Amino acid sequence: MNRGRKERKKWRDAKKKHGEAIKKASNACLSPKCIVDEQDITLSSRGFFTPCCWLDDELYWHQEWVHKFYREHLNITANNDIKDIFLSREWIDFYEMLRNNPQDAPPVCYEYCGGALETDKIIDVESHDDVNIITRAKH
Amino acid sequence: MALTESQINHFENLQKRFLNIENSPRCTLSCPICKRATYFQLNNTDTVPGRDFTLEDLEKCLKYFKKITFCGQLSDPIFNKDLIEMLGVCHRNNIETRVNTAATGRKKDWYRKAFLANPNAIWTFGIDGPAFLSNRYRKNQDGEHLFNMMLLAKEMNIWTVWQYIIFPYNEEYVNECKQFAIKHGIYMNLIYSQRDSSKKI
Repeated sequence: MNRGRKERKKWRDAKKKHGEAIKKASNACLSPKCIVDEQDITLSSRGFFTPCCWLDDELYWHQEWVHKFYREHLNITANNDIKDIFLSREWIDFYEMLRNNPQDAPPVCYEYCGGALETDKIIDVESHDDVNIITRAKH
Repeated sequence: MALTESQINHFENLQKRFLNIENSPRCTLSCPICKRATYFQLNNTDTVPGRDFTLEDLEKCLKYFKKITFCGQLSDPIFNKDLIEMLGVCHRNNIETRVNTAATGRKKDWYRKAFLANPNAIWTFGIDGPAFLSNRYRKNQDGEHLFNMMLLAKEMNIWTVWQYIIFPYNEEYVNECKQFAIKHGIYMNLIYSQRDSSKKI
């Protein structure tokens, strides 16, 4: 294994471990922003849709469930009608799992959506005529 | 094959959301904590995988999605050669459109055309602090130019947002920049980031 691959594996393993630790700490409580909030769906420049931008990160591509979004038949170029992608077994099963068996969700879901719903915390809002200045702490 | 009620609900729920499109694999910046930088580091490369999103791709998406964001995870949207045309298509189809950008490399005339193509699009400019300081994190950014393009957007009545990530090196300028934004009628998003700047910036 070359140095780059070793390093990548190290990062991926660390991310997985981090997500698993959050899962344990939250008693597998999950508040998926792709269901309970207004998380954007993402389309990557590789042509794959994912329920959020966090899944579009090579450090998570290998995780259970996540890798399924990157199957060739789910690429935008492979579909004249993208509805077929969102109604694919992969997408339906993923959302069913999140709704009915969240304990099976991959570590990345717990890393970003574990526990109660947490979004960016708004610290301050200043309104000046037609302008708002919003200060927030990124979740 | 007929869809079940649950499949219809599933799809309708997805359609209500913004679709965030990464429209190319390119960016001129080298922000040290960007996923792009991590990708370069772990793959010993200076490119990320991907291709340019096309007008045909956009047409497929607009059949179902009425809210579009052009925002890169690993790139910046201004580098897609057809972005101006895409903005026009979104405008003609009454698509709620957002563009999030921080990179530079396009001339003033390009921005003018982009703003004209879709006067309803919301443009967010990532400029962390006063223009001269922004490239401390946004490596290679021509902060002065982007700042001027943000002002141009405002002059052209574009809904303009200044996104300012607060780092220790630019914290002292927050109030000054707020006053500037208020004076020019620019919305501001000040963000205390989770980015750990201690080692890399």
